[in-house]
Amino acid sequence: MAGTKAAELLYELDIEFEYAHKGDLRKAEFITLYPPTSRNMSEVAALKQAFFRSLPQDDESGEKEEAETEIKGSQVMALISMSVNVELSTVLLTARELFSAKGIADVDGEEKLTKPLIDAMDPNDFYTMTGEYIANFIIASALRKLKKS
Amino acid sequence: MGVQVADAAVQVNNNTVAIIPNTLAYTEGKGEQTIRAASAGGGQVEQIYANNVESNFSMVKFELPATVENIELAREWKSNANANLVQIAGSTPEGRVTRTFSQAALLGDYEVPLGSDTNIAIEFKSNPAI
Repeated sequence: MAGTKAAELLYELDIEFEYAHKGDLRKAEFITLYPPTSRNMSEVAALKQAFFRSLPQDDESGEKEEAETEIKGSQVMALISMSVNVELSTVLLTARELFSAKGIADVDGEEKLTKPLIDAMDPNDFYTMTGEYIANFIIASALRKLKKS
Repeated sequence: MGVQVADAAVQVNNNTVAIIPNTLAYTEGKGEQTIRAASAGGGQVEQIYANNVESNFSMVKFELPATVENIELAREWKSNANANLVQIAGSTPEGRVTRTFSQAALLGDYEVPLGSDTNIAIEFKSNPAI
């Protein structure tokens, strides 16, 4: 049986941005993130591959492998950022496509996160949110399977 | 010499809308004012200035190509009543102009012409532009 995935994830913004809600402007405080579906397979595959390509090539001890099954968003982005095999800008552009897809991200749990809203986000918020999404929804189950095998 | 703002971006409800070039226009929503004369006698008049707040609403209009997506978008905006928000932003080398129109509504029953080279003329009424 496949491992369970979190139903949703709340990402609290460090820097608020404005968005339209029922005809008025509001300040966004958090982004609700939902797991991907097969509709998003192209972006999910690209992000998953980017993460695994960013892993160090040396095969180390089993203890290290176990520690990596609990990887955090910040660690994911640190690996990707430092990797010579992966372009960070490509990862972020892929994440932009994914987050603006239907059913992936809502602003304050109310309005769909659109590309103009992503463009209004603080880049550090977007970077961190991308890491959290990859860690929780894209590689979590793959890492659990690796641990079992 | 100044540079005219000619290709402003339009967003409605957090989505960018591709409009027909040179069709975007808006009013500031500062309303209409009138000046009347009050006679002080002896040929003297006193100016009476009045602000007609009834007209303190903005208008923002543009045209869209009549694609299926735009037809559905316009229908959604109409169904939203006055729960739409329109934002425009234009820039030139000299600077940037942005306006936000809150509680915008499509009051008229807009026409959807189906044919080649036809456009849907959209006109929102909203709170004064900010």
